[in-house]
Amino acid sequence: MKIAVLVKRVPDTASVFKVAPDEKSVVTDGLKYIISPYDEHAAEEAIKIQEAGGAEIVVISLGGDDCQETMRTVMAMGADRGVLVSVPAGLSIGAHGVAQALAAAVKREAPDLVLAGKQAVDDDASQVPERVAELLDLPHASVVSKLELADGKALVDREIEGGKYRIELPLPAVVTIEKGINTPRYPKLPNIMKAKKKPLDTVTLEDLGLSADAVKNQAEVTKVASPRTDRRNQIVGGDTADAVKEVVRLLRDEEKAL
Amino acid sequence: MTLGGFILFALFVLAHLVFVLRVMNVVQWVHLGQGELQWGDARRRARDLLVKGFGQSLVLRKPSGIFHALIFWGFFVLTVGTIEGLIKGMLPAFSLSFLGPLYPALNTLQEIFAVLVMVSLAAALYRRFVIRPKRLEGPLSHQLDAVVIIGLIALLITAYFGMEVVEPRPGFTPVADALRALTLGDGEAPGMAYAAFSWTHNLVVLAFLMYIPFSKHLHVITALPNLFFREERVRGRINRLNLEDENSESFGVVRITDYTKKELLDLAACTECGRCQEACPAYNTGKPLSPKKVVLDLKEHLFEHGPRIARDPASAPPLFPDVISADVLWSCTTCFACEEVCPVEIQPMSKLLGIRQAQVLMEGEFPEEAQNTLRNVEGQSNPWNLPQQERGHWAEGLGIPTLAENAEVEYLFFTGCAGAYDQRYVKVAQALTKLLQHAGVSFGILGNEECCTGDAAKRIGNDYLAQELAQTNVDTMNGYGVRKVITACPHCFNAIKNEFPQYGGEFEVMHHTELIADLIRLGKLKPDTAKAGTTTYHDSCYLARYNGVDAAPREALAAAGASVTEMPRHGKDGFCCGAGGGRMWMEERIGTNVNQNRAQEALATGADTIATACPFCLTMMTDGVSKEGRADTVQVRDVAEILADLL
Repeated sequence: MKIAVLVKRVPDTASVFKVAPDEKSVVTDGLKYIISPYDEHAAEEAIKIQEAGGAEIVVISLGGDDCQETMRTVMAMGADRGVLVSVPAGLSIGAHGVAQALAAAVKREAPDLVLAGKQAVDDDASQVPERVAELLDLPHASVVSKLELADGKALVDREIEGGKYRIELPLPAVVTIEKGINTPRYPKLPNIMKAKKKPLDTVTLEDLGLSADAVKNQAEVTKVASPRTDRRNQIVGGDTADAVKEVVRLLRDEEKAL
Repeated sequence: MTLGGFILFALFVLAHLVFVLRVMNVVQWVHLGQGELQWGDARRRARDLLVKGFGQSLVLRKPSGIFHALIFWGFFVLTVGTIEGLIKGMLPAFSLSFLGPLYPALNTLQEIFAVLVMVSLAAALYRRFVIRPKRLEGPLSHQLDAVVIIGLIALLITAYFGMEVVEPRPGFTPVADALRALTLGDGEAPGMAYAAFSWTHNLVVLAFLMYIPFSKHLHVITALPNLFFREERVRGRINRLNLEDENSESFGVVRITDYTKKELLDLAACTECGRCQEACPAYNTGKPLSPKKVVLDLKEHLFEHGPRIARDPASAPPLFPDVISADVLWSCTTCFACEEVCPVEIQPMSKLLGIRQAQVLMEGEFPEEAQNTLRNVEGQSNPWNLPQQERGHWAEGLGIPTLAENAEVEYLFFTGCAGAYDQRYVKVAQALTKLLQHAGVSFGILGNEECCTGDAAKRIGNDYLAQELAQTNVDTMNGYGVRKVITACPHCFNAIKNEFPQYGGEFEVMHHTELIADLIRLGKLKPDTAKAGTTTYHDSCYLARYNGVDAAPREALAAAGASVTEMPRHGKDGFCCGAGGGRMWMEERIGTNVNQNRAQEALATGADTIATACPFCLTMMTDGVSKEGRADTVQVRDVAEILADLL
């Protein structure tokens, strides 16, 4: 059994985000980066399979050298090795291109199972793993909250609004993971130490037979904006009965909300 | 030598053989630990031995300690007579009379102590079985142990007086004389009387010798060495683990053999007095943790498995969870009271911290709430996962420079996570700012460059994270050439003062109450004393007990005109609020709440205001007062807030 886990390095959503002056990007100074939380659940699921029946786990990511830190955290959880698809700094690359590159990297590994988070928490696009499945012509299931493997098949529960599908997929397959599926482990120090020495190969787009042109972003961001947060936070004091009347008046007459 | 003398000699040899073999076993088991017992700095060790050991200074910190001290000193005095009696039993003509005028003096001294020991034994029995303080509780075997020991000593003294009555030695011995008058009058003692008392005395001595190393009285042998081998440590510092050592595959304490030799000697030295248990906030609120039980359980484990481990070190079983359970391990608030009160300087808290380190670093298994806290600290460098980029927001518009703006200021005000993010404690940071600005103190902050000191991470057991945080802060502070630091949090205070030097950070650290007291003394702050009310002050463990800062906050409150009514447990004997050691971030699911226990004590003083000097204490006491339904009438406020209002 060989499992590939696709992970993305994303800004910690607990950070404060500011729109850059060009209004097309966010300020990255002072941001802290983490593994996208859904990818962490995917990694945990892979390690649980490894613990249950043995498996080789390859963590695959795309980005700059700082991605190695993110990949090492997955290795500290238990992944055996890593493949980083290194892209030149400044190259704008979208879901289409990332999927092309990751598909090529996954193909070289020929895993029995590909796991990834159901979405990355930075752009919330939910595209890459599905595109990888299409490019490699593999069956896939997304937003999976339960995963069982038996007889060369994967039996998964796929969450939908108000219910779930149970789907059987032949392996190899691509499965994207929803959070309730497990609790990612707290990495043990000896494993953090060991992770530093595990093999992590860096491959370029050229190594994968791709050109920068083939993967570059074809869509263009025209504007980034923050959600409106200018609430007025008015506190109405005094006697409760009067205060309620005042709140109703404010909502009806001033805010036209009722 | 008579037949009797020969038999006594044989028994004498036998008893010593049993004694020496057992003690050698104990020594061997203690040597299963890591490192070596340290002999260096012999002057300090000798002084400790003299004052704390022979002088019984630590035992005498409790009134009941006087009985122990008398029995202890009596032991040495009476041993002179014991040796004389033993030799005389084997060689009937023997006597210490060759000591000349010293002989009667020694005999008089022996009688004085024989009486004092007898009285002390009665007091001990009375305490254990009539007063029954909870700290002396324990399984039946422990109680029997105590009875056997008290009984043997009482029998020894009885036999001593018997011998004195029948065959008086020279000296001023009014008690023996009175007993003689009472029992024999003018008559003669029966022929065999002396032999009977003498045999009783000698047999009891030899029985006692054999019994000691198998009983709680082992401490007679181990307590003094334990005081002697005490390792010099910085109070409040948990030594950093060597995480750089690539060959090290084990961190913290998994097995009993992971403790140091000194730590194992600790176990053998326990007297079962229970002072630690009596002071423990976890024990006092119905948690399964008793520091005394921790030490005794580890001791029992060592003594039970010691012989096997000595043959095969790899056979040592893990301590968690069979010897130390999760509920015991995670109930500790690291308040330090157990280590502070121990009369033989055993360190129960440190034993638990070693196991915590192993659980976190080696197993990754610890309470989920604590895991979340550590993940938050790993992420945004504060326990609430609030944005690192907003750490300096609390100071906006207050005119405080960051060191990036002006590194020439005299003090760095190390705000701490609570001062920066906790809306309640932001008010304390702002009150302190008002005081400092009013007094014209030159200070700045690190703003967004500050990060958590790692106090909670360290005490939850994640030394890896704590080291990273400490190093980051030290590097930032050294980068600005910081020399003097003010903290508004005893946990930051303790970390910066006692732990940062291990990372190359040597700073002069002041807790804000110390600086406030100084400024008042210098006349730079002149609080309007008319408005102050009645106050009680709750000591933070990390301030008062760990670092001895208990006078300054009281001085500040007194200068504010507040009449401070003390709680029964205060200063170094203060009772924890329940939030130390990472407990702030964990639910309290067992027993009653520590903070409520403390709030009740504070409310009982009748004070209008409960003053605190720590963000955790402030939260816990506020919550405790509120649970007692007294939030409307009693305020919980930081010393800085009280003072700032009086400017």
